[in-house]
Amino acid sequence: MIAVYACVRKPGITTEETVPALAKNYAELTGTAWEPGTSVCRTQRGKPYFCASPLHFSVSHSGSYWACAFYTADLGMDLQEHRSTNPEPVVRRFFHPEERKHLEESGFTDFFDLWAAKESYVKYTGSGISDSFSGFSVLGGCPARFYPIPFMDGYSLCVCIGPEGAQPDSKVIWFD
Amino acid sequence: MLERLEEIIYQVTGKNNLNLTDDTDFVKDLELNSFDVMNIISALEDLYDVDIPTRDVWQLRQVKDAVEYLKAKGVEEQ
Repeated sequence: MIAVYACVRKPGITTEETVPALAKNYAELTGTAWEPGTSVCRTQRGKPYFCASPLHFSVSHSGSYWACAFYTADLGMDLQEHRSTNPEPVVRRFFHPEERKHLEESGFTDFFDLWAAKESYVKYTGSGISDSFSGFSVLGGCPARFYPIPFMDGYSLCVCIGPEGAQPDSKVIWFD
Repeated sequence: MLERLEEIIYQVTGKNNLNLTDDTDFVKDLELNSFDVMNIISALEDLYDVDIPTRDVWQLRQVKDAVEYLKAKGVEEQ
């Protein structure tokens, strides 16, 4: 199961302290092994991960909310508030031609859904946003699976996991 | 240049009264996410008519990094 823990953003929420506390709850829910005191490490590119655990996580924040997704395999998650913005400069620069065509033909109605999907992919791969961000299309061809998860009105949330395996269940869990 | 940066950040994110300093960190202090950063970069490119490759963006962690980067691109302090 993919579990997205979410809360209203507030001071004191940090990856290093908040995520291990939530991981304990996820481990209890799913029967996954969890070692108290497991700490957060970071890759050279800054992607956080548990130093020694079968659990994986991905953190995102946007607008009023902070969220952390857990799974028992590698994943990336992005939460994005829908802003009133002209998407065209960002689409021209950061989206794949196939995505641009789709957005132009659909009137940019799912711009934020696609942005969240693209971000979730680069967080899954650990590459982050780079010059190759426009080089892949989330509409087809990525060696990964994308799961948009319903969140609050005015937000897009997408989780990306590897291409193999059964489709996992997902749920959003709110915490204070 | 700090004032122009503040204006752009406000336009993109709605955050104001930022009181930017050279040491302000875009992610840690202003809590900007990737979407914010990319929109700010696009706005800076339009404003100053410069090209900022995506691979350079993640070096620009603090205000002073961005200011020095733009100066190196020929943007003059305003």
